[in-house]
Amino acid sequence: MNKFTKTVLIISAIALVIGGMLVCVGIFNGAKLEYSEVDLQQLIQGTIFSKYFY
Amino acid sequence: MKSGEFISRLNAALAQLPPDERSAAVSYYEEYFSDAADDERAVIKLGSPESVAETILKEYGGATAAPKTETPSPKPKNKTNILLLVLAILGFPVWFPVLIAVSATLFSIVVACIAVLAALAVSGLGMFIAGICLVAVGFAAILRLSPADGLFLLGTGLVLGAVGAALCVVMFWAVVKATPPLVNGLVNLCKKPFKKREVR
Repeated sequence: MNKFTKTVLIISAIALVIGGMLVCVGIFNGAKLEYSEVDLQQLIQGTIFSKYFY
Repeated sequence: MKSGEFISRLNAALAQLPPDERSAAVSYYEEYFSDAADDERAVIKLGSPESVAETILKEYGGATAAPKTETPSPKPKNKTNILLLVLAILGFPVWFPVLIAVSATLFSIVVACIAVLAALAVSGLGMFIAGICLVAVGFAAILRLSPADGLFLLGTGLVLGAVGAALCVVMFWAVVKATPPLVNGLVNLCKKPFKKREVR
C-alpha cells in the first residue's frame, strides 16, 4: 500500500470513531431518527444545496 | 600397428558406406601403403583408422560415425505429427467449441473479479459523497432543528464518509494490484499448451 492509501485509511478510522461518538451523543440527547417532509425542507434550506433546489 | 590391421579396421569403420565407395576408399589407402617406404611410419602419420573413417564419412555426406541412432527417430515423430494433425482436423467440431467455451469462461471470470472490485470502489465513492452531503446537512440541522439532530446527522455523515473513503481507496488499490496478475495468469494459461509443445 502506498502512502496516500495509508493516510486515507488513518483519516477514515479517526473520522469513523468521531462520527460514531457524535451519533451516540445525538441519540442520547434525543435526536429524531425519522424526519418529516417539513424537517427535510428545513434542513435543505439551511445548506448550500438550497441554492440549487429552491 | 601394421598396414593390414589399419586396412581391416578402416574397412570395419566404413561399414555404413555403400560397397563401391568403401572399396574405393580402402584401395586408396592400400595404394598409399604400397607406395610408402616405411609401413609403421605411414600408419602413425595417418592417425587411427577410426578418425580417418570419420573424415571420409563426413566428406561423403555429412554423416557421422554413428548415424544409425539418429536417422530412425524422425520417422515415428513425423508419423505421430501427421496422426495428430488428422485427429485435430477430424475433432475440430468438438474441440474448437470447447476451447472457445473454456477461454470465454476464464475471461469472464477475470473480468467479473475486476468488475466486482471496481463496483465496490465506485460504491465507496458514492458513500463518501453522501457522507459529505450528510455532514453539510448536519451543520444545517444544528442551526435549524436541534443540536442533537445536528450532531446525529453530522456523526452519520462522518461514519458514512469514512467507510466510503476507505472502501473506495482500498478497492481502487486492489483493482490496480489484482488486474496485472489476473491478466498475466490468463495469458500464461493460454500460452501453456504451446510452451509444452516447444519443450518436447
